Parts: sequence; C-alpha cells; structure tokens
Amino acid sequence: MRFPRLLHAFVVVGLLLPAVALVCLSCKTPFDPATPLGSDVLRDVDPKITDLSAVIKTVDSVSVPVDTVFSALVRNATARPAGLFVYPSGMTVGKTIGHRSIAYVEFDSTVFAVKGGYTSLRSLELVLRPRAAERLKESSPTIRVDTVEVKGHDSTRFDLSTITAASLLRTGAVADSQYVNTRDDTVDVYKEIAIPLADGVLFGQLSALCAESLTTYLPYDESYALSVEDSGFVVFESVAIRAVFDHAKNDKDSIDVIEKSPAYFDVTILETDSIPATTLVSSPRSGRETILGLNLDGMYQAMVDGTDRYQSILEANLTLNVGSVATEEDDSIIVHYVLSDSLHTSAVSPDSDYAIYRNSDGSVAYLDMHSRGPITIPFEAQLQKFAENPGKDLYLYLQVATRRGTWGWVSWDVPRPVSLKLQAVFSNPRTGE
Amino acid sequence: MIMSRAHGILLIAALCLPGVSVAQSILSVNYPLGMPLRPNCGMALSMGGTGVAVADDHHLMLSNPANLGTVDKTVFSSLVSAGFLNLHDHDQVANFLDVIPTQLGFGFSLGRAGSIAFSLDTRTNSAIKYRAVYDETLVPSVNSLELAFSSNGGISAWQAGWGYSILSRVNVGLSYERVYLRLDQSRLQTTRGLSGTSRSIDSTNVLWRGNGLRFGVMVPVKGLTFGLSAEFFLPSDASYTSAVWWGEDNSAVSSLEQGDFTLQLPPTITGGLSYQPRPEWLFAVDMSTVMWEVYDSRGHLPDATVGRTLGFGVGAQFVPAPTLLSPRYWETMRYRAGFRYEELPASENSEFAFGLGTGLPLPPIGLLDIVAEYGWRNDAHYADLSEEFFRFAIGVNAGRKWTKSSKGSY
Repeated sequence: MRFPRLLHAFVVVGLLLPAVALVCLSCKTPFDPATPLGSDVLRDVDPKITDLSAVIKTVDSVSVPVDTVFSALVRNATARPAGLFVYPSGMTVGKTIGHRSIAYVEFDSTVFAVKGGYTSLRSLELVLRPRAAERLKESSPTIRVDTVEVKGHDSTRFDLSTITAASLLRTGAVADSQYVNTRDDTVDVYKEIAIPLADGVLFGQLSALCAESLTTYLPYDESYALSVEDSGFVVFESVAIRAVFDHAKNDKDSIDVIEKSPAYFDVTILETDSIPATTLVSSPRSGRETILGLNLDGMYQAMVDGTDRYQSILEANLTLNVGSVATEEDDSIIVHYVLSDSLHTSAVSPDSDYAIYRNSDGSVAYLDMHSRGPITIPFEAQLQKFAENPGKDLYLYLQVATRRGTWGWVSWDVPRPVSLKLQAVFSNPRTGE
Repeated sequence: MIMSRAHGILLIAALCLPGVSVAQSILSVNYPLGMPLRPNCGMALSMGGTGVAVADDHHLMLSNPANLGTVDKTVFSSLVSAGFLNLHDHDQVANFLDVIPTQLGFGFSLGRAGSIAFSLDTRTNSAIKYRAVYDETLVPSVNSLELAFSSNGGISAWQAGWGYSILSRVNVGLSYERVYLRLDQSRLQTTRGLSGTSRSIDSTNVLWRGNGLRFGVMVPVKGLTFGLSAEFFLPSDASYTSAVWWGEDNSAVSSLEQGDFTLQLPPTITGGLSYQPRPEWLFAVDMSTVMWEVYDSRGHLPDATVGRTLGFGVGAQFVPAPTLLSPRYWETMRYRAGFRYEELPASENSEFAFGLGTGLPLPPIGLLDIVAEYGWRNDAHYADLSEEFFRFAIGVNAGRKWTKSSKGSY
C-alpha cells in the first residue's frame, strides 16, 4: 500500500505548523525595524555611533556681526521693474500702505475705422472702469489724467517728473455715490469715469472724417498717466477711448460707438514718505528687499574642535528683530529669505531659491500688524553648501509677500553696528578636515 | 500531476523570495566581513553543518568540491532561509526577521569525465539597524535628536566546479569562485527643529570583486569516508567611498573620499569524517578553521581580533527503509539532527546551534528539505548581551539520471 498523498501533505503541514508556532512564541513583541539595544557593542566600535557628545556639537549663541546692511530695489526674472503689473491683475492707481501707484496707458498706432455718413461726433472720452469696491470705503479718490509722451511700449522710460501742472488733462472723482450693481449680486462694480477729450487733436480729426462718404482709417498715438490726487486707491478693470457718432441717414437718436483699448499699459509703484528711505524695508510692491552681509567667522571657528572639523550643520537659526509691519487689516506678511555668496542689488534675483519662514510644525509663519521683536529663521540647508569653503562673504536677502496679494511691508530693526545671534547644531566630525 | 504542479509553485515561490534583510546581529559589527551564514545546504544545516565527508548528490560542491565526483546525474539544489533573532540586552529584548535566498545550484554528469556544477550562494550578512532618539533639548530650537547606524551587505559568490572519481576510490574536485563583497555602513544624525527634519549621513561603502579557488578530496573506505576541503582567495583591489551626505533627499555631499585598497580574505580548511554502518544510518563530523591571520583590509574594514577560528559540527541522518523496493512514504523520509559550535571572527565570540530537519521525497525525483535550527551567540566581553536565533529553511532539490551508466549492471 502506497503512502496516501493526503497524508503526505499532513506530514509537511505538521512540520511547518510547529515551526511557525515556535517563531510566534519566540517573538513576544512585533518585529523591530531598528533597535536602541546593543549600544555598548556599537560604542566600543565607534563612539560616534551612540554618543551624542562624540558626534554632535551645539552652540547656543554665536555672535554673527553684520558687516553691511541695506535695503534695495531688485529686478525680477522677467527683466521688468519689480512692482509693475499687467493685465489681468488689474491696473492699480492711488496711494495705500506706504506706496504710491501711477499707471501708464499707451494708445500706440491705434486705428479708428470711421464709416462714412456720420452727421457728427457726439462725444470723445477716455473711459476708466474701476473695480474692487472695498478699496473706496475710506476715501473717494480723485483720479488725475495727464497727457504724457509716448514711450513705445516701454514704461521703464516713463519719467514721472514729467507729470506737472502743464500735463494735466482732467480729473474725475470716484465716489460711493457712483456705485451701481450692474451685473449680479456677487460682483460689485463702479460706474465708469469718463474723461472728456473734446478739446484735443483727436476730436477734431474724427469730426472732420464725419463728412467723408467712405470708410476712413485714422491712426492715433497718445499716452496718458493715471494717478490719484491726495489720497485714495482704485483698481481699474479696463481703460478705453470711446467715440460716439451720430448717424446721418437714420433717425436722429441712432448712434454708432467706437471703443479702442490701449495697446499697452503698466504701473509704477513708489514708496511714499511714510517709509523712510533709510529704513531697512522689505516690500513686495516697490520691490525692495533687505540685505544683511553676515560675518560667519565665529560659526566656522565653532565648527572646529582640536583636530576635528564638523562636516554637517544640522541646525542653524538666526534671530532677527521685526521693527514694524504694515498691511491691510485682514492681511498678513510672509517672509522669504535666501543666503547667497553674491551681492546683487540690481541683477536678477533667484526667487526659486528663497525659503519661507515657517513655524516649528512646518506651517507658514505670518507676520501681522501686531508683530514686533525677534523671529528665528532656520537656514542650515542654505548655509551648509557654503560651510565647505569658509571665508566667503555671505549675504542674507529678506523679501516679503502679502498673504492675500494686497499691499504691505516690513521694516527690520537692525541697528548698526550689530551682531545677530546664531544657534547651531553641528555633526559628523572628521579628523584633519 | 497535482503534486508536480505544487512542487513547481513551491520552487518558484522559494526562488522568488525577496532578499530583504531586516534582521540584524549587533555582534556582527565586530566581524570583518559580516555574520557568517554557513552552512548553506539543507542537509548540512540540519546535521550541524557537517558535509565535507558526506557524499550526497544535493550537496553538489557546497561543502566539498570532491562531492561532484560522486554525482552521476543532473542535480538541482536550492535553499531559502528565514532567520528570527532575539537580541537580549540587559532586561530588554528586540526581535528581528530576515529572509535570505541562501543558495541555488545545478550539477551535470559528464559520464567518464566526471561532473560539473554551478552554484550561487550567500556567505555573510552584515545587517544592522540601530536607532536611538534623544528628546533632551540641546538648543531651544531643536525638539529632538536621533542617532542611527545602519549596516548592510555581505558576501555572495558564484562558483563553477568539476569533480572526478579516480577508480571509484578517491573523489577529487576543484572549483573557481567569483566572490562579491559589498559593505555599506552609515551613521545618521537627525534633528527635528524649526525647519522640520534635518539629516546628515556619514557613510562608507566598500565594494570588492575577487577570485577564489576551492579544492577537495573525499576518500571512501568501506563505511567510512574521509573528506578534506580548502578554500583560498586571491588578493585584489577593493574600492571604497567615504562621504558625508546632507539635504532633504541626501543628495548633497559635503565631504567625499574615494580610493582603492588591496583586500585579502582569509582561507578556510575543513576536514571531516562520515560513517555509514548501515544504509539506514549516516553519522558525520566536521572540523574547520578560518585563518584570519591572513586577512588584510588595510584598515578599511574591521580588524580581525583573532588569529584563527575553529568550528565543530556533528550530525546524523536516519532513513527507515532506504533499500526496500516498495517502501511506504514515511519509510523513505530522511530524519536528521545535529549540533555545531563555531568561533566567530572576534575574540571570545562564539555560536552554538542545534539543528533538526527532514527530507521529504517528492516523487519521482525531488526532495524537499525542511530544517529548523535553534542557537545563540554571545561575546564574553558583554555578559548582559546575547543573540538567540531560530532559522527555518526550506530546500528544494531534484535529480534525474538522463544517461545509462556504463558501470551499471542489470
């Protein structure tokens, strides 16, 4: 009689089960991926494996003299002056939170196609359509329109000093009384501001074309500067030149409207006198950042113990003092910072390298109008790459941004001469390096 | 048919087991090349590591190349082992597991020209994972700090061998080995502070590819068989990289040192004796020595703190009815037991183990080895530390004679 295959299986399983049971009994706790046990053995092999004092060095307060300190306007990667904004973010005009914004609008080779047969040019206006109703609650800005020289789509050549009494074209008020809800309950818009251009050259040229029997094309070049007199702030949704013609052959109330948008516009933002030029300021709107030239010789010396030199910087935290923070009431400030071995006050600033100041839980730390005093920024990741070649001049760049994209700035309290306080944790000492 | 399919699935599963090594031996940090993993075939593992004087097809050349002189068929042998380890340190215990594909081998009979074989096996394992967390506040901005040490790698080798039987009285064999050594050791320091987690790693990696030769002789005299096997390695260059890494993805290096050094592995000599008084019984005893005084790593690997290490094993096998023409299944099963003692390559380090196993015939040509080994190792310098281990291994073996022997009679 052959041995049954079923019993064969029973034998195999009967051997496997006790083995598995033995394994389970031998393991009173779940399997460990790593263990702190055996430290005596490892310490005898290499004390750096288990002894904090052999592999870690902490410094609680290293003095970091600030050799140079200033704030400067920087240029961003688009090669456009920082603080210039283009559609669709809106065209900002006015004064708010320490800044003044002036718009430059250019109608360059704008062509009016005037059909023949009109009886007259009823009106010619520069039409400004505001948005952002909430900005008008505290003041009613008076919009000033100046005629300025055409700069050929290059607002960097726009000279603000040319805005004088002689260049004034018109002013127009934006007030709550002009508020209308023209779309639906969720979108607030203001009634447009119409600046008459009846006494300009264009009005005469268009009026003359009304007598023509065929369609005539009229090119037009003109630029305007839009600003706010006194106080107030407004964002324009659109700007246009609007011509209204009366029909010749139709009934007398029939009109034709030609509206032309600008070929180019931009915004220049300046700091007002409420931000002293000598103050260390970081402002996203004016494009100013604060630059601190750090002398890290003390830290490099602390990384050397006898013949050992620590290779890694696990932690490096620098304490800075916030002087004041200005934002809109419901907004706050985000701090960006980067350590660099090059000083660039007008060159391209590498925004992507900037770190964000965060809380210990990793969330973004915000500064608001009540923020004062010291903040501690960690920068070991940025410092490590320079620690291998000590002796270079290093610069800490401080930029800020507003959380909601509104206006704001931070001043840094860095009296000169000054030494900042650095906390650091070094690791991985190696002999002779 | 069903059983054949089951055997095939078992074989594939065994060979596909991942080579993850999450187990560890803290004591092996003192061993120059990691924890030795011998023996490496199912029969030897269950018989206390003996095998240098045991003529068995499934041994191939794993214990002694001269065994190939006794192989007259096409043979397949494999072994996968799972290791469970309890690390006792004072009153605390930690448990670990690893699964290691131990060996895979094939042998082919060349008739009058003897037999050849090819195999791949794992020789040492250097898995260590140590981690200690310190919550003490070093500086106000650091919440916790972690020190860790990891080691992994080991030695694996493939070899090609040839064995020949001289006048059916003396079996001789030799094999060429291509040996691969990889040892990666890293010290990690991690802080959790204001900017989240910061980590730096000081790592050392050693790579070596070398050549080895093994010689063996096996002399059967009536029921007794004497065996002798020796293994030598040729010195050759190893490369090392020592670096400090940092950054979120450990991609930046702040210190890098690379170079070469000449590595000489220690030779091993093993002698053994087996005795088969009756077909049912087989007894074997082995003694081996590793000559660590020859070992030289020029200081790039741990120094050997011993001159020579000795190993001793004894084992037995019982088959109830090996000669019956029509035996019952249980009468063809092989029951094995053994004990081994080995000095490990650090002073006053040793290992004891008891093995139990069975060989289950898989008709018509296979044999399934199931082995359990229990043991412990310790270092006399650390009285409160010991490592208790349990190895469970499964070996799948097969052999078929494709050609008719000219020496056979009918």
